[in-house]
Amino acid sequence: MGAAQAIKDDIALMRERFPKLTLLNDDGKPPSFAGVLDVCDEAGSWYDSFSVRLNAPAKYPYGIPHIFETGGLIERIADRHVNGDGSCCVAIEHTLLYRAARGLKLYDFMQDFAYPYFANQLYFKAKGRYAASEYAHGFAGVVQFYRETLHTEDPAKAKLLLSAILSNALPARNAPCACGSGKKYKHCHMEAALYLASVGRSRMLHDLAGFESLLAPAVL
Amino acid sequence: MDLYKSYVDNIRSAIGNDRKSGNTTFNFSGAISGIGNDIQKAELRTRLLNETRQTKPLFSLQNIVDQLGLHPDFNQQLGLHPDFAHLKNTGNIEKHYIQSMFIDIKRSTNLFKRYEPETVLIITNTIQRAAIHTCIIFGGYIQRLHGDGMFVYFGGKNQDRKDAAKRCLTAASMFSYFVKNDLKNLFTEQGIEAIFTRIGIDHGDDKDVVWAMAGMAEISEVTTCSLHTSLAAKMQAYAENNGIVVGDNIKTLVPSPFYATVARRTGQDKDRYIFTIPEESFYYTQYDFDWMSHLKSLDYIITNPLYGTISVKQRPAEQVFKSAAGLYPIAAKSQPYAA
Repeated sequence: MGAAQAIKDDIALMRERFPKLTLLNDDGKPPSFAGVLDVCDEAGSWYDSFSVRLNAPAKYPYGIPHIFETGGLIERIADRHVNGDGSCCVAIEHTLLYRAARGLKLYDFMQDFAYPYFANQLYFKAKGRYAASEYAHGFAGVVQFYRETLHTEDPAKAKLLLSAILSNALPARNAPCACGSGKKYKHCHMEAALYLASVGRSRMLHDLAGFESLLAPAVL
Repeated sequence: MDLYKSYVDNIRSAIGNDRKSGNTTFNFSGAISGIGNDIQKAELRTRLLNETRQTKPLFSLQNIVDQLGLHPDFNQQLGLHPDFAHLKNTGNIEKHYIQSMFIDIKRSTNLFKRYEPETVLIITNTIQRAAIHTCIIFGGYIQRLHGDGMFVYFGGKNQDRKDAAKRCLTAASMFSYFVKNDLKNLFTEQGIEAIFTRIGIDHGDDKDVVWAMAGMAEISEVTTCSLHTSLAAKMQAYAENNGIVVGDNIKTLVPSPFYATVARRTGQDKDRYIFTIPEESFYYTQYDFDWMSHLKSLDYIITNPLYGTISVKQRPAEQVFKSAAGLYPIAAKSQPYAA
């Protein structure tokens, strides 16, 4: 299927599944939608609706879409994972970058990230907590991401692995892993390293700097 | 759609009770004799048939009446629009706008291949009743029943024509959804060929519609003489299976992106106009109406983005709503972050 057809199909699916979001431009540029997002459970019972705006990135579908809550129903505080301008922090950037590197269509973004995010906001409103886990704010959330992705409590391993990826010094499959565990790379962090490689160099450099700062000896 | 659940249940029970097809809803492990079983079946059949004769909508459809705060007149008289009833048994005429809708049900004859006539009667009556209730709920006046189909008016005195046309389109859309989805699913489940609808709708304005009594004495009705009533019937034949075709007047009255010329679908330019008077430069266009998109655009309809199914916007029971339990499986997929 051609890229143009894939985009056309994505827009058609958006219109079918989110019919109250109106396509704002039909000029071949990255699409934007705005309107009402009804949130219902799997049985179709309705809980609430949000006014939203969805913008495809310039590199669509190889970029991260942005969704804004425009009705002011979510308090603009970090704990609610929404910025002052209404932009919604639907997931940690790494997850989104990974998906974007493989092509992230608007419908998939809505289905996998935005819609669950708004359902989670309603869950928070009802219960005072999110349904499952959330990332910690700031760099602590990044550390949490690495902890969960690399299955390690040791941030030094994340630093070692990032350094190896960024300097093209990843070991061969059967060589010891770059994290220093002594295990074969293929049985240790090979899969995680492939995942991290697709979040992009600039994100990894940023994270490496964060880990270096975190692990630096305290200056008295 | 949940709205038609009671109707679907009625038909399912009738099918389950049918003797010809070998289906049975009874499971008494042979404890009941043939005669006893027959009596039970006859009783159920009578009950189901009586259900189809109730004036008010079945339970599930009543929900939308309550939810939208509508006040439908379920006691209206066939062929006697109340705003023009005074014309009955008179030679008077009156000019007033009206929207005409013709609903036809196709392939129901095939039901006789599989079921007893009594079962077919319950099935077709239930379908027709669903159509009647749907139209009345949205302010329609049933003018005539023909076969499984019917002829309905929308609008009247002191009714905004645009609002009436919207309600007319919504009634046609709801009923089409019922036939195309709920009924089809049931028939597929039973391994029988689906039936389908074809609907034609048009609006005739004040100057183009004459109301008068047709017929004589008790063999009469108060009806319209209008090109646009005739065209609605004609356009129905141009509709695709489970399709709605409307005249240009409807499109003008209720603008939306949901119209496309019939010619575009058929690829035949001759299908563009349903009626022409070239010497008067009158060319009247017919349009396919995308009723599914229309339904999805309504405030009180919700589309489940995960499955694409629609339902009437309805909150779950208070306790479920407060606990947000239904949301949990979806919400738990989210792991938000704030930089």
